[in-house]
Amino acid sequence: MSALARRGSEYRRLVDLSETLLDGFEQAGYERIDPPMLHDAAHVGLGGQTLLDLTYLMGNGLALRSDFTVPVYLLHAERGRDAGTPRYCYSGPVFRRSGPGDDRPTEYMQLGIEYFGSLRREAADVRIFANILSALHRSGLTDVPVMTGDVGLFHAVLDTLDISERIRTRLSGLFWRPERLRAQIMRMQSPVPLPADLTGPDIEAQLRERHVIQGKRTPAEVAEMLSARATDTLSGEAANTLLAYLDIACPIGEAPKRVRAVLGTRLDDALTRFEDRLRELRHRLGPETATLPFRADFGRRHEYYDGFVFEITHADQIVAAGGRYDRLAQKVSDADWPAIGGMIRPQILLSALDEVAP
Amino acid sequence: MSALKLGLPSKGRLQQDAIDWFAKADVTVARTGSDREYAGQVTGLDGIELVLLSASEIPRELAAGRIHLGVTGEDLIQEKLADWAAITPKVTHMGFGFADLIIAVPTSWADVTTLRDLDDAAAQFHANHGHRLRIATKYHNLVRGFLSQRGVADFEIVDSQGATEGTIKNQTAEAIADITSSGATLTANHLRILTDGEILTSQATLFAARNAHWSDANRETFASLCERLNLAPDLGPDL
Repeated sequence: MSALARRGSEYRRLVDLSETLLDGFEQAGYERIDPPMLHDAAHVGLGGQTLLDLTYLMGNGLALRSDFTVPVYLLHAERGRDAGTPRYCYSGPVFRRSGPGDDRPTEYMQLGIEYFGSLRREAADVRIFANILSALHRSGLTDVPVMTGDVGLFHAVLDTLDISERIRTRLSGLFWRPERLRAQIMRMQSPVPLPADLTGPDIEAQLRERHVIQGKRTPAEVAEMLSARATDTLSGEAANTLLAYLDIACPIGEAPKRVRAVLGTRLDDALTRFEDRLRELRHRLGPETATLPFRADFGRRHEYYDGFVFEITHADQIVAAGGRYDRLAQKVSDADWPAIGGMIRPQILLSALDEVAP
Repeated sequence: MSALKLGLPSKGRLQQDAIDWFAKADVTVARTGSDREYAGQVTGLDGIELVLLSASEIPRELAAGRIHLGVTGEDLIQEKLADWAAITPKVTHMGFGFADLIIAVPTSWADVTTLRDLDDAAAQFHANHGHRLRIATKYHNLVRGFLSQRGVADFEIVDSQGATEGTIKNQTAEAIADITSSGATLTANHLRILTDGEILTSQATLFAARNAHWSDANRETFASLCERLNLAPDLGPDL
């Protein structure tokens, strides 16, 4: 556990670097905002399990921010629909709980940008990615490994398959946990027989008869799960398609070809958008972007992403990352407010710069 | 010369069992003053000072090195201390205070017998009820770590410092993680342990504090104590 030391030359350098990066974003048209450190704890779950586990809940209905995405989004939502299609930049400390055996810092700096409301999603994706990348370049970090993925493409793959709504929802909810997702795909292929003592038409009634019922999870939910498992299975064909899709790992320029090899023409709409994004990438950042690595199962381990995602690492540490989270926006405001953001960890960037040019 | 400080639980069954255990080594621990006074003395072996503490504070006192030796459950040590094995090496298990930290669900959840099932139920519950499945426990770190490692998500830990089995009936939690010895309380509350839901098996244990100041006299006292108890603990070079 370590907190942020707010003195000394290292801290000075951190502040200077952050200011330079923010100036760059402001010049690129981002409005600088300062989201509050505390926000309504009811919204913490929106960030997903990973963030929920890491967030300090203050016990008075407030949470200490563990990430900027949710607080920036809440600030934006307050401004209402008239806010148009703003782009924001921000910087400040985030706070993360650490359990025993965990020496990750409890407080560190995060700096980022968010872009709301643009319906030209692919162009907005590339704009955020390019702005983050060029911020790193300007600071002196040029040759860094990038990983990209597309959570939306996975959802589109699920939509092409002949599967029940239950299976679709369950699998799409597991995307951010790739090993668990693969295990679930294997598991859902075999029906699970009903327990021997629960047969017949009305499982719920039998549960009520045999057990003391307590708590919020109802016998109807138990019965629904049991009968779904017994009858609603994933076909071998659908499972193989999913597994073959998830195994795709290739340069991003080759991804559409590889996906078509698995799914044929079924995914044309989603792939057309993917190809639009490739064109934007080429247009903005040059033809060599076609060689950026892409992995079909890459989702950044945060549940709220649902479109393009990227991560930039140095020596296995995440220097910068981001992605699209349209659905989070819908959950908060019930509106179609496309949203994408990216963040930089200035402390990791500083140590990366020191290694590159000591 | 300062004495070797031995931390014992300040009350209850654990304290009595610990006193009986030390008596085997002809080390007699006696409460002094009234029953309610947290003071005591050790006879039979010179150079030991008794420190009576709440069992849950003993891990912290060991970690800080304010006591040299302490008796507490492995569950509390592992819940409260990062890297506990390096800070408070185990001297010996004591053969009492057995307790398992387990995850239990209502018996009516016929679809949930394993952690995998719990993960399925948690996803279903979150979708249906608009909040995560709540697991009541006082062992936040152990439970969170155990579930994350085994691929269970969509849960939320809610704090419960006692009467944890009742939280489900009271609808403040959907499942629990708690210490059980016989399982009788679970059965009485219509709860069932998941087949792979055992997080930890724990018993009362004598721990040593690496961060304490160990004088030569303290080491000698500790060596005589170990000799009387027939122990040859390997605590590494610093102790």
